[in-house]
Order: sequence, then C-alpha cells, then structure tokens
Amino acid sequence: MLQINNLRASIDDKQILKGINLEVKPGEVHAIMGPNGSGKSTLSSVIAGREGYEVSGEVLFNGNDLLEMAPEVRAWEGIFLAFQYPVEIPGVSNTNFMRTCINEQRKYKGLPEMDASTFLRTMREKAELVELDPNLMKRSVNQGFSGGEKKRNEIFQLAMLEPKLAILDETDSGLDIDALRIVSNGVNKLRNKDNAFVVITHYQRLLDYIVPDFVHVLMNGQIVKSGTKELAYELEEKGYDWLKTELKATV
Amino acid sequence: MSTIAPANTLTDRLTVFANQLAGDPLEGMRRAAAADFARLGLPHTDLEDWKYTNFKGLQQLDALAPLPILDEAAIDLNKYRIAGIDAYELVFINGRFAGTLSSRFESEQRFISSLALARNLRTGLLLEHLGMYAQQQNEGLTALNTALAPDGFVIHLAKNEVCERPVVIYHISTGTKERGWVNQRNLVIAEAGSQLTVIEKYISDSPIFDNVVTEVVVGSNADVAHYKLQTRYGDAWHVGTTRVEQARDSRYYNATISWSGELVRNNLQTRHNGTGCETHYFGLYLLDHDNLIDNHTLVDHAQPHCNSHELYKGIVGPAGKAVFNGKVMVRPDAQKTDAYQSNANILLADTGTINTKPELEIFADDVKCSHGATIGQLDLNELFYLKTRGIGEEKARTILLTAFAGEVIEAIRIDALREDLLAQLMDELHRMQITF
Ligand SMILES: Nc1ncnc2c1ncn2[C@@H]1O[C@H](COP(=O)(O)OP(=O)(O)O)[C@@H](O)[C@H]1O
Ligand SMILES: [Mg+2]
Repeated sequence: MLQINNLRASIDDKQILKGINLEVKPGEVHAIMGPNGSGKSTLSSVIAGREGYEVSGEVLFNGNDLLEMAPEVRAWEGIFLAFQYPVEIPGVSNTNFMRTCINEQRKYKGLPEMDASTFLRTMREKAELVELDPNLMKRSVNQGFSGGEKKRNEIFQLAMLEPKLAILDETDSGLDIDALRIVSNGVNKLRNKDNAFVVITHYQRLLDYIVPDFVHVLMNGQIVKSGTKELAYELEEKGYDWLKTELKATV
Repeated sequence: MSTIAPANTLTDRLTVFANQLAGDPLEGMRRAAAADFARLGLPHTDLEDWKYTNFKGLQQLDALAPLPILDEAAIDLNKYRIAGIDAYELVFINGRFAGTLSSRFESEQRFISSLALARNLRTGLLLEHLGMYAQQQNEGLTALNTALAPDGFVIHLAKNEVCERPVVIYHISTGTKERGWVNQRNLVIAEAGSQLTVIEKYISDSPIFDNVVTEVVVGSNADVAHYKLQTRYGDAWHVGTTRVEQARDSRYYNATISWSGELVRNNLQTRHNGTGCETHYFGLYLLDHDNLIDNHTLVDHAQPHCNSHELYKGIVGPAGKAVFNGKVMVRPDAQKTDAYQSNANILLADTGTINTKPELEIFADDVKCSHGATIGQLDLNELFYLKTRGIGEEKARTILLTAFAGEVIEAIRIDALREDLLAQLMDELHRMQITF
C-alpha cells in the first residue's frame, strides 16, 4: 500500500528526514516511536503533502507517486492524517465542513452527493463511535474544543472519510486514560484487512490498546530500529538512551 | 425614456436652485448650505479626512451627464428586490421618487414617504430636524447635498410606534451609459420608544455618482436597525454620510455591506446625547478589482454609561484599495464608557492596499476602551488542514474567506436578508478566487 524509499526532507537547509524506508501493507498497524524532534511529525506532514519542504526519494501509494499529488488528491486517494495539533477553523461548522469533505471525495470518485438523511445518520453513528458530543457538530471546527475533544474529532473525521491509510500523529498525547480508551476502541473498530494505520506515539501505553504489528524507532531523521511490539516494551523500560548507546556500539 | 432633466451641471444647478427657492420651507437652510459649499468646495486629498481617498472623478462633477427620466411602468422591481421580506418599499430611479413602485404610508403615527412629499405633509418635522445634525459646515459634499438635494426618503415613527415591517429603500440608477449624479437627502426620526428597521439598497445598472446624506434621530429607548447594502453597485461612485443622534437608553444598530462600486466613501457618525445608549457598527468590504472602498466611522461618546461595539472586516484583492478610519471620541463627561472596535483585513495579494487607522481620543478616565486592527493573509495551517480532508485549494480558500467575512453577515438580524447575503457572499468569493 505505502512504500517509502530513501525519503529525505529538509527545510531552510536543515535536514530533518535523512533517508526513511518503510513499507506498509493492507491490514497492518505500524507504530513509530521516537524522542521529541526526531522527525515524526515531519514524516507525516510530508506524506500528507504539506508545502515548504525540499523532498527527495520516493513515496508510492498503491503504486502511484504520492509526492506528485496535491494534498487533497492524496486525501481522495485514501490518505488521512490525524494532526498532532488539530487546527481550529473559526466560522466553519463541523457539520458543513464534514459535508463538504464527504461530497468532494464523492465527486472525485464520480459519485453523487450524499443525501441529507444518510449524511446525518452517518454523522451520528460515527460521533457515537468516539463518544463525541453531538452539540460539537454545530460549532466551528475545533474552536473552543478541549484537547481531548480535538483528538476525538480527528478520529471522528477519520471514521467519516474511511481512508485506506491513516496516520495518527500523537493522537494519544494529552488524553486521559478514559479518552485514550475511547479513541483506541474507535480505531480498533475501524481496522480491517483492507486499511492500514501508522500510529505515531511517544508512549508504549497507547500500544496496549492499539496493538501494532510492527514498531519502528525514528531517531534523528532515520528509522534506526524496527521490530514487533516487544520493542515498544523494551524502549519503555530502557529509554531511548539505551538505543543510542547500542547504536554507537554497532557503528 | 423621455426628456432630460435640465440644469444638471454643478454651476447650473446652483444658479437655478437659487431662483426656485421662494416659498420653499427649506429656503433658509438651502441658502446657508450653498454659502457653506462656496467656502468649502469639493473634497481633495490635502484634507486630512480625504488623505487616502483620491476621488479624482469629483473634479469632473460639472461635466457629468444629466440622468434620463424613465417611465416607472417599464421598471421591473423584481430584478432588484430582496427576496423573502415583507417590507415597505420606497423606490428611487435615477434620483427621482418612483411613487407607483413604492408603498408609501402616511399616517399620524407612521410616515414612510419621500422628502418632496414631506415638505408639505411634515413641514414642522423637517424644519425641526433637517440639516441640524450632518456636519455641513466642514464637509463640502454635505453642504452641496443640503443645498441641492431634490428628494430622498423620510421616515417618522411617533412615540412608541413599533414598525414591524422593515422599510427597504431601493436606490437605482439605470437606463444610460453616461455617468450622472444624484443628491439624495434622507431623514429618519424614531421617537421615544419606537422601533424601526431600515434597509438601504444601492443599485447601479448605469454609472452614477450618488451623493447621499442621511440624518437619523433615535429617541429615548427607541431602537433603530439600519442596513446599507452596496452589493450590486456596478462602477458607481458614492459618498454617503449617515449621521445618527441617540437619546438616552436608545439603541442604534448598523451594518454596511459593500462589495461593489468603483469609488465608495461611507461616513457613519453617531453621537450619544443621553446616558445608557448602545451603538453597534458592523461593516464588510470586498474589493475584487481596482476599486476603492472607504469607511470612515465615528462614535462620539458624549455621555456617561454608553456602549459602542464596532466590527469592520475587509478582503482586498490584488488591485483593490480599502480605507478604514474608525474614530472613537470619549468626552470628559463620558465616564463608564465601554467602547470596542476591531478592524480585520485579509489581503489576497501583497499588491492590494489597506489603510486602517483607529483613532481613539479619550478624555475620561473611568472607561473601558479597546481596539485592534489587523492585516493578514489566509492562514496556511488552516488551508493545509482543509486540503488534507479533501478540499481543493480554490474551495478551501473560498470556505475560509466566507467564514472570515461571514461573521459580519451573521450580524444581520433579518433572516431572509442574512441568508441571501451569505449565499451571494459565497458566490462572490468563489468568483474572486477564480479571477485571481
Ligand atoms: N517548519 C520547520 N522549520 C524549521 N525546523 C523545523 C520545522 N518543522 C520541524 N522542524 C524541526 O525538525 C525537527 C523534527 O521536528 P518534528 O518532525 O516536529 O519532530 P517530532 O514530531 O518527532 O517531535 C525538529 O528539530 C524541529 O525543530
Ligand atoms: Mg511531532
């Protein structure tokens, strides 16, 4: 599904991603862990299509060159990024926003607009999935939402748009244990054999709920170690410094 | 189309008018104003108030063409009508009151009619109020208007009269290719405890220079909502001065929406003459070509315990030029004033121009005054967020701009008008996206 080969990205001559390789297949969940500033959000931004980076290397999505596509085309093709810091959009109601997103996607696929009652029913169902207060739907996107509500709104959007590949950038940070459980349950219900998740997190805690097939450690712009979920426990126990020393030793 | 109105140039008009004044109840006022105009002349950029408003066309006022007099029966008002509002309608075509298209109402309690008719029907009212508030001693075009304006609308609500239907004034220029000019003089008197909604809609199918002066008196505990729409104003030139006088515990609520017109200058001034007044100003301007839209506002807090709230927003295209000047005067007696002013602008390209100038003059110490002026561009984070959800560049920009400008439209308290303007706004902004 997603194939990343030797991906490099820099901004203002500052090299942030220094040759990333990663393959994600349908049905898989990959976790990416790593210390602050290692390039996790940059990787997700580059995949989602944020401008302003100088990018080299290759990112293929179902065989197509992702880097050539505008961000909205990536979304239509099935990429979704749950933002580490969801953006507030004053003056645009959640409902209108979602309706536009759904219908733009349907237009791309040659489908007619979703009828109003199906849309509202779907909204209600998906909001329940992440236990999001229906009153938030009338409010401006993310404006005045609590930290937890913002994160749940991201997963709600994910549920509405049904992407093939979802990247969750630190969706767990700032969530209390109940919210974490709600968000994880939502994600687990959305998992199936045709879609895939890349879950970026700081803490092994999340991975108790969303159990990954693979764990990768991103440090200083590179994936320095990959393994199964046991790697996450090891990291939790020994810290990133352990990995740094181990890496030095192998060099 | 029939004959042509005589004596349309400035000099002609001023001579002819002097000979016609005998017996006119307004004679004294008109002669004084003509003298004021002779002293003041037309505005120019050397004047502080006109510094950023280069109204070159004004110097050709003398050369403007006369306006055709049209057959009212040939005008289809539905072309211009705001849909879905049950309203009194006063229609002016090329500056002339179109009686057959209008729904006049003239009772003791409620007078909704024209200035020419009011001259006989409400002589006392005119003599008491007309020309008493607008500052013709220091504004040439106001003086010119007072001297010359043949007609306009007059609304009078007697004490405690609640006018449930809004009054819509359609001010239409049509039927010619050459620019003409119109002086329109309006008066609104809402006596104590009355309630009124007025919508002025300026429409230009033909090029026009509208010189408009409107005096509004809001009696104690009266409530006036006043909308000024320049949404279908072609390449009009417009200088409009609205002067409001508020008595104690009154409310005045204004929204001025401008997204067309070649050269537009709106002056909006309110003075508090009693305690407990509340004033709201909302404004929106969109400049989609090399036009100029200028809003000069004033709230004169002359009494204690009054509030004013002002929000003006603008979107300026690559060739547009917008001016906002918001003066808030808090006089020494005006303790416990609460005044808020905000002017927010989005420049679509850095070639557009916006001159924004908040002017706060505060002479009382126990007051709460705040103001803010911003000039920015669309937020790239917001744009990116929308795109990652499958909304393309053009649509995303339109959505964000509509949300920005929509805040002003949301302030309109007439549902049908608000919905109509919101839909138009979306189209307008979408068109602007395509053009640039
Ligand atoms: N727009 C930017 N301009 C300059 N440096 C940036 C920018 N975005 C990120 N960086 C830098 O790139 C590095 C990686 O950042 P980021 O991808 O946010 O890391 P993480 O998500 O792993 O914490 C950091 O050193 C950060 O300061
Ligand atoms: Mg990050």
